[in-house]
Amino acid sequence: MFVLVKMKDAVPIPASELSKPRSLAVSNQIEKKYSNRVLLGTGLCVCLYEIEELGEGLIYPSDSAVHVRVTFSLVVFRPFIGEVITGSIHRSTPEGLWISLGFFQDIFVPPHFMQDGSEWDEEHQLWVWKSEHGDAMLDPAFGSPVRFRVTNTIFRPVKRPSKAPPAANADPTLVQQAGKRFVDRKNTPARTGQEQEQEDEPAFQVMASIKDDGLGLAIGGIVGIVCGIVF
Amino acid sequence: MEILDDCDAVLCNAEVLELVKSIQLEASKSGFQRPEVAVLTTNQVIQYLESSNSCNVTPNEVQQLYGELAKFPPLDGQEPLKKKELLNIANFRPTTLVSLYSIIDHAEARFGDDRLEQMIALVEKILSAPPEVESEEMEQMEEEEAS
Repeated sequence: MFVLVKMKDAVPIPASELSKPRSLAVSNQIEKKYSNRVLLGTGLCVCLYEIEELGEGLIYPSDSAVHVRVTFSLVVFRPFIGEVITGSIHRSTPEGLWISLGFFQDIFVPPHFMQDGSEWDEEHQLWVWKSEHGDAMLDPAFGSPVRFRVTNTIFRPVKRPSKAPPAANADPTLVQQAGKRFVDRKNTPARTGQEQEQEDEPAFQVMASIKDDGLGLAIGGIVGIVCGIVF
Repeated sequence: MEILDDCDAVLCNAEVLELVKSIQLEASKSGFQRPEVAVLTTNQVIQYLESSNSCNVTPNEVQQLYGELAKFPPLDGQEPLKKKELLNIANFRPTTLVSLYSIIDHAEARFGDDRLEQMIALVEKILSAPPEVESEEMEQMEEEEAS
């Protein structure tokens, strides 16, 4: 699920952090910039693994920050295609099922990748898997574990830069939502037009399948109703 | 910003859990505050990994398992276990034949049910079980002693 990504960047250390040891100040700034953010084509950055090289500190005119060139490795969440992961159901829409891992919530199962016999139940607004052993409701409220296989990872350039993460005492879920939409680009275009409160497509989306044997709802530790081999 | 290597190394869940816990421990010891967003993310990752099947697995056990599974011969003329399958096994800790079928491509053709059962036994022996499984095994042992 996780890979190490080696990177090089110029990290500005604000003047207020200069009293701290250099490596600590640098690692704090790196984590502040990259944690919970998506790097296009790479994945969701989790935390700093190690700092390999610390360059000299450069000071530019009319800028109190000290800019340090750093070579470091980040732990990045990027599941490989074919990986089998356990998550919990986040929400159901007629378009498909969304699964969450807690720190990452943009895992999508389209209807054609669900078990045969899955239907959208209008009354309960849920996906239901109908089999000869009974019906199983894929209900987010239960938070029951679901095993899925990754079929694809999609990176989308976000059209507008996201809002900055909110203040320290804000709701933790908000920080996560805001952080995930951020896309790091060299030249961020200037914002034009009105700000609209629309739900953006996620910058990093994982497409998954719960169709095959051994996948789907995991009940009581045994994948109870999923495959004919068990029964 | 320049990405030097997109995939310097692939980490298994056990390694990430150990790393993230040690980061947390160091941060609390040193007293220096990490950025809020980093703390939140690492807490969520710890929460996810600790509720997964491989929460008690250590990197040493994974190394040991890789060593043992590498020696596992497939049926004649078939491919041995691929890297992604090894990683899947280490992360997932399969305990049933069904789980192995979902992890290993063409499992029955490449290994046959007997060797797959042996693989499961090996996984259960080497990788430490998550808490609910351990307590179930304890209960079973107590029942056997009582009867």
